[in-house]
Order: sequence, then C-alpha cells, then structure tokens
Amino acid sequence: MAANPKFEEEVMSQNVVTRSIPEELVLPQNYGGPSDGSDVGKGDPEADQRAIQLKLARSRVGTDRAERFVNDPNQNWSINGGRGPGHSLVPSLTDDQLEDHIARGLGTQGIFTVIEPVDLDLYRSFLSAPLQMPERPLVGATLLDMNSGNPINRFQEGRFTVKCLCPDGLESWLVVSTPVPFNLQCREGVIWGWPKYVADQISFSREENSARAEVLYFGEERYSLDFAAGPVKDEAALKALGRVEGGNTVSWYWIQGGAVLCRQGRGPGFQNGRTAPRILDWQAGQVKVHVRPSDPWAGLIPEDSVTDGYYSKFIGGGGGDSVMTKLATVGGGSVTKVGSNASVRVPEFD
Amino acid sequence: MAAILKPEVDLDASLEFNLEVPYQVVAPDPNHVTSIACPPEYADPVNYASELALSRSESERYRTGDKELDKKVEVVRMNAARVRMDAIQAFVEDHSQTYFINGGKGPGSPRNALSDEQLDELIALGAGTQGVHTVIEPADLDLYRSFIPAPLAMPEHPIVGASLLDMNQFGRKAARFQEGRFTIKVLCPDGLESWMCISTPVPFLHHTREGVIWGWPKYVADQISFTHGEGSVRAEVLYQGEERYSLDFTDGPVEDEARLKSFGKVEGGNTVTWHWIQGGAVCVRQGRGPGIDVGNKPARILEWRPGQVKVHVRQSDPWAGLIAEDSVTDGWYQKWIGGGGGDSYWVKLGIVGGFPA
Repeated sequence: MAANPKFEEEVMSQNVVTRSIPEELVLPQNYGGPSDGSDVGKGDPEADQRAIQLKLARSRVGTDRAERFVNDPNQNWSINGGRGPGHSLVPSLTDDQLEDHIARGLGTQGIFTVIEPVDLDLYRSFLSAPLQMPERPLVGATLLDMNSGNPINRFQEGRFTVKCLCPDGLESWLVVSTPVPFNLQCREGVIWGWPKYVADQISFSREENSARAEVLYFGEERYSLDFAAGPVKDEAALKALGRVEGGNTVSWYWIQGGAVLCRQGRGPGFQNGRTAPRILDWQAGQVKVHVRPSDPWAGLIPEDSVTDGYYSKFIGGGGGDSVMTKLATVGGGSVTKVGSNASVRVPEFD
Repeated sequence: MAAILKPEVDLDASLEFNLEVPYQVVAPDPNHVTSIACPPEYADPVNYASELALSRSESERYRTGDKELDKKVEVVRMNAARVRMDAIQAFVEDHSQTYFINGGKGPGSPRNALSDEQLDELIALGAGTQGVHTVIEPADLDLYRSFIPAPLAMPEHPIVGASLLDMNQFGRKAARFQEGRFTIKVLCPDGLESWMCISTPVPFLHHTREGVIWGWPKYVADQISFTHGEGSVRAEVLYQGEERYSLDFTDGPVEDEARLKSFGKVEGGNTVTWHWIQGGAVCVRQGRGPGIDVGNKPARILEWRPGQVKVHVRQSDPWAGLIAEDSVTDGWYQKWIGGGGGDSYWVKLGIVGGFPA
C-alpha cells in the first residue's frame, strides 16, 4: 500500500486524547456568574470557543442536578437547583440594572396564541397517566427568541403544548414539540423530557405591525407562526394568558425503566418572590400557525389555523425562588420492588 | 457497493474540535435573528444525510484547513444523526412495531459487507476499533438488582461489564470518538440475556444527544484519552477535573483465556436501553440477541492481549458500589474491525407507562 508514507505513519498511532472542555473551565468554582456575552463575537475565535465551552460546563452542572433530583425518590421539590429556598440562582436586578439591560436590547420576544383542539381523542392520547384532561382543553403555540442582546445565551425555541390537569389538581402545560437551533439546548431538553429537535434554522423577524417565526427542518417549513397586528375579540383574556406555558410546564424526565413527571414552577397562583417581568412591547392580532402535517400532533389544530394572539417582548427582573415539583413516577422501580404492580406492557414476539 | 473512503487522516493529532456544528447566527438588528445549524444547501435529506454524501477526496481533506469543507462534513454528520433519531423515535412511539430492522428499511436491505481486499486495505490504513474490557463479579447484589427495572430481571449469573472503546471504524476522522461503557447483565422478557448500560461517557455533545434520545445515559466528559504504554493500555475519563472512570490494562497471564474470549466485545452488539416516550419508557435491545445469526460478516480480530484491568469509578456515582473500589480483574485489550453486512436488528421488549389515564 504505502501510497502515502506520511499518512501511513500517522494513522498507525493508537493514542488519542479528545478534549471537550479545557482544564481551567471544568470546575464549577471557576465559572463565575452568568456571562453577559460581552466577551464573544468580537472576532476572536478562541474567545468564542472558550465561551461556548464554559456554557457547556455550566450546562453539565444543571443537568447533573436535575438528574440527581429525579432519581432520588425521597425528593419532591428541587428549589433553586438544590440550594434551597432563599438562594436564588438568578440575582434580582436593581431598577438601574434593568434599565441598562433594556437599553442594551436584552429581553425575550415571542409570538403567542392558543387554539381550541379539533380532535379531543388525539388530544387525550398525549396525556399519559396520571395527567388528565383539563377543564377546558387548549393547545398553545409559541416561539420565543430568548436572551436577545446576549450572543452567547441567545437562542430560539418553538413550543407546541397542550393544557393538562396534574395529579396535584393544578393545571399546567405539557410540551409536545420543541424545535431549537443548537445541540446544547437539545441535549438539555431531552434529559428533562422536553421533546427537542435540532432544526436546520430558526428565524424570528419583527416588523412594525407583524412578526414571523419560522422553523425549517430538512429544508421544509415544519413549524411557523405568522403574526399580524389587528383587533381581537378579547384582549384582556389574551393578556391573562401571560406567556402561555412559560413558567408552568410539565415534562417527563427520563430515568432507567420509566419516567418522572415534573413541573417547572411551583404552579399557577403561587408567589415565588420573583420580580415580575417588565413588558416592553405587547401587540394584539392574529396568528397563523403552520405545523408540518406529518407530525403526529398536527391534527390537534386545523391546518394553517388562524386565531387571536399576540406579539410580546419582556424582560425578567430576576430574583425569587426557582421551584421544580415532582408530580409522579412511572416505572423505574427494580423488578423485586415493583413486581406485578408495574405498569408494563410487553409486545408479542414472533 | 459504495466506494470505501480512504481518508488522509491524522488520527493522533491534537484537534481543536468544535463542540457543535459550526453554527451561524445572523442578527442584523435586535428585531431580526436567524440561527442556522444546517445551511439550505445541505438541507436535502436525500443527498446530505448520509456519510456517502462525502466524496473520498472530501473525507481525506477534512480538518486540513478548508473550513467550508469541514462545515460540510460536520453538517452531513448532524443530518445523518437527525434522520437516524427520527426513525428510531417513530419506531419507539409506534406501539404496533416490535422490530426495527435496518433503520426502518426492513429485512433484505442489509448493510454492505466488505470484501476481503477492502478489509485488508482498511486495516493497512489503521482503521478499526480498540478497547479495554473486563467483567467483574458484583460486590452488592441488592444494589445490582436496584438497577434492573421491570420487566427486565436478574440474569442467571449477575456480572458487571466495564469497557472503554476508541472507535474509528473506517478511519474517518469525523467518525472517531471514544466511549466508556459500564454495564450489567440482565434477563430480558423474551428469555435472552443482554447488557444494560448504566453509564456512558463520551467526549462530544453530538453523541450525548443521540445517546440520551435512545436511552444510553451519556454525559459529556472533559476529556477521554486512550494511551498505550510498554505492555499496558490506559483509558481515562475526566469529569470536572476528576478521574471519573478509568481502565488500566497490564499484559499478564489470566486464569481462563477461553472464557474471556467468549465474551467477545462484552456488551457490544447486545445491549438493552430505555427510550424516552411521553409518560414512560420503552425497553429496546440493540441486536437480535445472542446466538441469533443476522448475517454479519464476522469482525476480524487484529490484536488480542490478555491481562489485568484495574477499574476506577468515581465513588460518588450511584453505581460505584457495584464493584470493589479500584477492582482488579482479568480482562483484555483488543483491536478489531467489523466486516459489515447483515441485518441491523432492534427489538422492542417492553413498554412502561406512556398511556392515557
């Protein structure tokens, strides 16, 4: 063989070191506070790479905490990532800091609408026990452009959700599909039970009286929201929806042999001490929702449905407690402890 | 038969590897943003979602300074993973499907087998997978049992598997990665024994995303290294600066070489995992099962050395107590190359939860 001696010499080596995160960035005590993104995107590829590695290092800490929580049957609440009440993960901002952030363009913008489901049987099929049908079934469709103004944290996320009744009697939103543009958020998502996938691209465009958010997947428009400003039937009802699912979602965390149902948030109607988000822009209108017809959840709403909705831009004030509530565990018990009580179905084998 | 790629790879070079596909974020003003993982020119799943989309010349030039080419290779790799994940997810969620054969293409669409000449060529290029392996008697059977969710059950002879692989099949630099596997033997409801993965460190986000989607509990390590010494091989996983998992192999006589050889790749080709679904999990075996011929051309063993393997597991990991601390057992180092061909089988074994109230 030996057509290329250099090549042959190099490939015969069997030693390898594959490094994802450099040593100085791996320890939690080296992380510092959340980056404001001012150090990235300045034409220094090494600084950019370092910022992304730091973000991954931080993300691992968060997902490790979540995994420990869901795998510990003795824990029902995870408060501030396990640090307990009063130890907020996100410090409260002063009014001056908030003004500064607003002036720098930080905040989250989104398009929101809710739709009456057209197929209640299909709707019900998404609600695994012990979740139940809510008093008034409703589909939520949103797409957020989060952390605009901070290049390292900015990302877009589509959320297609269904309202459900939780076993503690509170209503919440179950996430059915969640496109994101990056692998990092996708990994986090699937660990905590948000069915995320990496899109080709996600775009968000805001004009004076319209906004469009679009998700492409293998070149096809898989999910999009088109907002056009205009009169709506009940503006107060729309405002009461807030961020629709935002702050009150339930999802099924993966565990070996089962899943753990958790609510991100204490639940509607509870004060967690957080400074209320400041609404920077809010406009009512109509939202056309497109869902790729081959997606299993597409039949929940009419094709290219148009409903009253809104565009909103807001910024959180930080502070308060972050609470995650464990609502149920399905399966996951060892065979000796669960025995015949396990909710197990075994398929037929040929 | 697709052409074999013969890349001009540099397998032992230190790489500044992207954690992700090289993303592009276009944000001309605060009101407009587009985040791009897969540019439109590569969004066609027919032409850009298989590594066959890359010519031999392109594979050879990967990571040699052509940034546009590097981007294409990485996007194609991501696309291939997305297509694979979509097919697996559809299988897992479809309760009428019990078998997932050849990625959903069905029986009779086997992967290409390699001719002997092609295999020889690849071997000369240094292609193949190397690994350190050992099996250990569990130190705590109650803990062992606690890792086996129903309907899986205790096997006749409980045993812990510890491996770390350096996978570079076909020598493609973009495909090379390392993977630790800490496993336990289990009895499946169809009566066959298999291995369930308890912990799986990998170096890339790309693989960890795939892993968690198909129920391998993967995490991204700081770094994974595989180093040969004089009569020894060390495979090490660092996590947050700490040695979280390592295998130290030293050449030496073993009690029963034939028994060790009978383990083959330990869990390789016969693993069970729990796939996420809304409200539950689906137990799937990757592999038709031990003792069932699926027509694969047997792997060619390029090197096999017996010896002792010291296994280190971070003591705070919940599975650490399955084996003695810094256990030393008979094991082996091996390098092999698969011959391709045959049917790829996944078998659904059980569904837990996931149904409306």
